[in-house]
Amino acid sequence: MSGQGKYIYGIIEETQPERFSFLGVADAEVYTINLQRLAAVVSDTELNEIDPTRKNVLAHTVVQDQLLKSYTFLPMSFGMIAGGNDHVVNVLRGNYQSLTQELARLSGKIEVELKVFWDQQAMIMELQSESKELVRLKARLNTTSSPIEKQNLLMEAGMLVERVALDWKTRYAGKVYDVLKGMSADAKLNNTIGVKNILNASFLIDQSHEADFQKEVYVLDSQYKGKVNFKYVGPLPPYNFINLKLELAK
Amino acid sequence: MITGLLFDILFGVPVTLSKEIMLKIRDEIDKERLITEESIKERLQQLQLMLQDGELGEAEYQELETDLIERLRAAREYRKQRGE
Repeated sequence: MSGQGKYIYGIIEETQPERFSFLGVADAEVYTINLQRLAAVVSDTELNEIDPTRKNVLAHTVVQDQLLKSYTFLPMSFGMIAGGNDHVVNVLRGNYQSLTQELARLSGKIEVELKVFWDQQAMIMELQSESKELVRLKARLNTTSSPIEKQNLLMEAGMLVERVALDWKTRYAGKVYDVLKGMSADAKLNNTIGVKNILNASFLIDQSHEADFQKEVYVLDSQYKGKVNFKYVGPLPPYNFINLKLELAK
Repeated sequence: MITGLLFDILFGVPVTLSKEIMLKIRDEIDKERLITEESIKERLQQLQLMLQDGELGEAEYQELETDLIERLRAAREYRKQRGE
């Protein structure tokens, strides 16, 4: 691919060619490639693939956040590169009707994301209340010289932690998800990230309801404080609620 | 389950020793033999969260990111060679 590659951030409704004031991945200029009422927001790249480093992911996110301020926006996932201008136009043309429908369906809606993690201090306290098993495990870990036994003991300890985590997942994470799902147009469970994460969920909400939604998150957070920690991110473009998969086959 | 984290929970080793944590994560990565692009990307996301939470220092994160990106490139190369 010679300098013609187009990194795609997403699709907006826009009839006029636009050049934006913010920069994209690798500090490249961000602009639109238009077809009738639709436009793909892109920047030029000479690469076939972009590494998901923190810097690149951040650049991708910043562009999408900026676009979300002014447009209903269909975001592309990180790393979508088309072969050139014509390729982008063909993708727009080939999916014109479904893209227009999705933009209409998601108009005025935003995505927010909530992650819930178990609290390390709370986990230690909880395990101490089941002290017998814990004391036994710790004592044997301190005295054994066999690496295999050590591995087995750690596995047992891991299962203890997992048992508590699973209990909290049902008791806290499940409830949080149900309450917030009830306030949303749509909701989705994502894969959890890492050991401490017991809920990773995305919610599609009306932009006008965001304040109420946040208020409910604060209420739930204060209800379960001390056991689990909340991480709320939003507003985001509706990544998880697009019913359309764009193929970039050339 | 990350071994380092288990030790923290059992014996209260402070989690701010990020150099030590980095070495443990590197061990874990080697053991898990992260070879699919998906699993490497997932681990990168996890490390970014640890950095945000202050569980991992900037320099340590950077080193691990460089390692994982190298692995990712190797995995992509392998995929291309197989013609997938």
